[in-house]
Amino acid sequence: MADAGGSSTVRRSSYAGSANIPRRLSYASVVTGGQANASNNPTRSGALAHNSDLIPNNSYPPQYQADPKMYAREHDMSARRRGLSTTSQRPAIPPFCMPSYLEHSRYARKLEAAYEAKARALRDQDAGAASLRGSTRNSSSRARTPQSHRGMTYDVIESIPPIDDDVIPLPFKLSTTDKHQGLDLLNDHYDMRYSGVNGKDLEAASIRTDNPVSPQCGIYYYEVIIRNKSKDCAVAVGFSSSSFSLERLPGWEPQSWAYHGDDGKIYDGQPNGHTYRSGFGERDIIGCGIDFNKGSAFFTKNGHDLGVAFKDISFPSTPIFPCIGMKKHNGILISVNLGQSPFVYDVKNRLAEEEEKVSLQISKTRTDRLHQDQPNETSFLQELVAQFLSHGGYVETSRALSQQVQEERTALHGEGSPLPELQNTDTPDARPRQQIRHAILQGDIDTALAYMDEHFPGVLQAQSNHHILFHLRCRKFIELVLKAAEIDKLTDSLRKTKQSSNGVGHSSAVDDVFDQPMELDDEHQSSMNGSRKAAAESAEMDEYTQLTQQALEYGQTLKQEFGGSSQEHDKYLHDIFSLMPYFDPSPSQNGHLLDASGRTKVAEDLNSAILASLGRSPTAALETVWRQTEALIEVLSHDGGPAAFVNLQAVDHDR
Amino acid sequence: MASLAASSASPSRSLFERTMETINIPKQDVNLLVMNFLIQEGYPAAAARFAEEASLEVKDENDLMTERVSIRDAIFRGDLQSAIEDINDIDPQLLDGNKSLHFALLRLQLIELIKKMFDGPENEKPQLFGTAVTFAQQNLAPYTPQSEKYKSDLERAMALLIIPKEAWQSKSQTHNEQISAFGPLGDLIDPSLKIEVARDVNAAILRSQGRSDHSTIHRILQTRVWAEDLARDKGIDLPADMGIDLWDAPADSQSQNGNNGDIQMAEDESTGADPVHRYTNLHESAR
Repeated sequence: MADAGGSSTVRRSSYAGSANIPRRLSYASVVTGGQANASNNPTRSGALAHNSDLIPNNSYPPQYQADPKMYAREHDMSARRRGLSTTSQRPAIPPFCMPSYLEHSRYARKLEAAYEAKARALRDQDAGAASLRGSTRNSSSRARTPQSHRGMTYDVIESIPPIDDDVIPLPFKLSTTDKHQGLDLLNDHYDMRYSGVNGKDLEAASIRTDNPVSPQCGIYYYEVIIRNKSKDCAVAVGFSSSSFSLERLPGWEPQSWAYHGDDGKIYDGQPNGHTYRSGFGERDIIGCGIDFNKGSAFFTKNGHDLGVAFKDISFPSTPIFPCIGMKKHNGILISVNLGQSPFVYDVKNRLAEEEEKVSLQISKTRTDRLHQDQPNETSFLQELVAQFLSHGGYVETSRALSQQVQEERTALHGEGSPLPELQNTDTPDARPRQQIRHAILQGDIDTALAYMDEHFPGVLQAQSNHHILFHLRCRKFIELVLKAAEIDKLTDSLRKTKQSSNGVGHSSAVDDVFDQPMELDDEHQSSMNGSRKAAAESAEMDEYTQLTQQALEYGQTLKQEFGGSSQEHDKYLHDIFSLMPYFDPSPSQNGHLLDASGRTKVAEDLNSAILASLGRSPTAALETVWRQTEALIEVLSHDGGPAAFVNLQAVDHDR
Repeated sequence: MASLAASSASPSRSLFERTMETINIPKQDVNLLVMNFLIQEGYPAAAARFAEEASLEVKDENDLMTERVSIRDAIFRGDLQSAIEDINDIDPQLLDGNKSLHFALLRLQLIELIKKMFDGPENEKPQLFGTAVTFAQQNLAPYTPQSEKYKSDLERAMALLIIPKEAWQSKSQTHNEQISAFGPLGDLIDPSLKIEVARDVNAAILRSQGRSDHSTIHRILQTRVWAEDLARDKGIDLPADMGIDLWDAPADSQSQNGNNGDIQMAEDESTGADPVHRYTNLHESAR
């Protein structure tokens, strides 16, 4: 459990500053403003599919969400191939859209986690292929310079695992296939025009979006802009299952629900509609919202809520899609806004209201049954935190907390406090565990290893802890690279020259270098240091060279010791070695490996291993409770329901 | 606990158990959770140490930790006068806008005055008695027309005056013995009452500063109970025992852990909902 590695886990992330730097490295976060074609113009920072003229330019109706963000995320695989002369067209992970009103939702977090996992899986496949190639080459060819591989193309990898089935991305664009043939798509599949078939008008023509709607988002909302429309023709906005016929207007047939613009009625799967509001027509913006918690749906017109249209919806067992239909007359032009642009209706506020209701319900919940043996929740919380601190070997914190709690209890009860003192953490193992953590968090791996030998001999040598030893040793390598980079920053002026030379960090040559028996010949020296030889006189430069060399040597040792022990290790070695060619490693593909949170992970995993070796639980009760809670919410939010509105964060980001 | 449960589980594990295994909470987040607790609940020394030991950056926000800690200490000490003054220093509107909290503080002050009377020398007793009664008349009595709850709360507190002095002075007795000596009024001298009021003061101050009013751990525990109830209502397959193991207790000694296979529902919905009710009538029999 401690080493969940690359499996597709539901990862949590806090929004609290320092902790989550690597969070968005594996896919691009898209900003607003520019225009680019997602598939043709990939850049490192991602592609943008925002189309600025989707919303009419006039200022009525008012637009909510002052900070329009396009949350379509384009997987960044192509960034690595930038500048390469590859012609292989690999399928990338399909982009997805996260409307900004859902930005802080649990579902958004989950979708991002699934994407990360997927991106990681793709990268691993690349690395696997690369290192395989590298190792076969080892035997025959030697002494390659990194540069000689920079222009290499990648093998085409055919088998790309599908995105987790249980994480359905939200609708991204209009479907190119799930549409009536009389409809033509325009504007990157955000607009559609009714042109009829062979010149004859059909009764009706409908279209669905590419992806269905997941109930896990709690409330789903999209808008339709009617750009051109003649008087007689009708537009219907709503949703349907995939079995609903696209030759009918949504609402007329079972498993479809819609608001019709010609008569202003709502239809819930029968030919007879119910009176709702007035109709709608040219230049109107109609919104459709589905509340999966209440099982209801509502519509909006030009930013105004028209009220609940359908109650107690019995959703089909198959997923539902946004569905738009129209009938009679050519020339209808309609745009959809699936969240790629700001909505005219303030759906964010509506979602916030729902979240608030659930939040209020939760805040009234008593926790008594979790702590029947404690006089009150306060003392239980204290015990829970004290246990965590003791478990983690946070000796000083633990002592400070106990002392304060004890003072409190004395103030309350006088001398005869009925409560025992908080768990004393001065077990013999606590102090060394604290020292080991401290050393690792400082980046001083050697000291940590020495402490391990002194206080917990044999723990790292156990076969079951092989991977922990591996990661600890790898961390030492990373720390060397970090130190070198630190020095490199002092000689800033040289940096510009080198960046142009290393567009790609992922080369099998990386591995080759570390396969060298040892000596750094001239060729290597010059390739590693490049233009900076000129500045080699300075003291920084000497130290830099030394550190780089030390890292290289240490890397070679690692490769000898751990190379071939497992696929996962080989891949990780490959990744950290790829940090080398970058003199300022942080922006590289694997730059996240350098993040300080890596220290925390190594330190905590080691702590868990020590505890396990002492026959103690590797997980603190606090963490278990949190995991239980997350698991419960996860299971509950599967089909919508109030749990979909719960999003726990270590630290509240806004409230 | 979780790891044990997982490894010994039957081959057909429930959706919950399988989901449990996919949940991976970064250690750093757990650290932040703990830091949040130390700051919100007001443990400055521990928070400073933890920042060092876990190498966390503590954003020096305006969390009023020092003030909150000294107010809590004052309440625990029984110095309600300075607690109320300090609250007013932070936010003069706070108690005006939260009558039930103000009442709860004043009532604690009354209880302290009564206690002082019994603790004091015999010759000062009449004077101290007068002080307590005057205090009740001037500060608490004006609340009673507003609600029956205030009225009965005040009456119960005043009833402490007729508790035999032996009950007050029984230093040698254990905590539970002492409380039981007060019979149905025991909750009024139970330190849990001070803890609860202090907690609500802390929450009110945090709220007045635009912060979340409790620690996230508290929130997680609430969510945990809420979600478990919801899941059991929906018939989702859950382990019968979802208790929390503290202290790596060996399987046979379970004195510390609150998991006696008990899955009863939260019993007292009303106490959380009604602000007036919550400080009062912990033992209904008092009437």
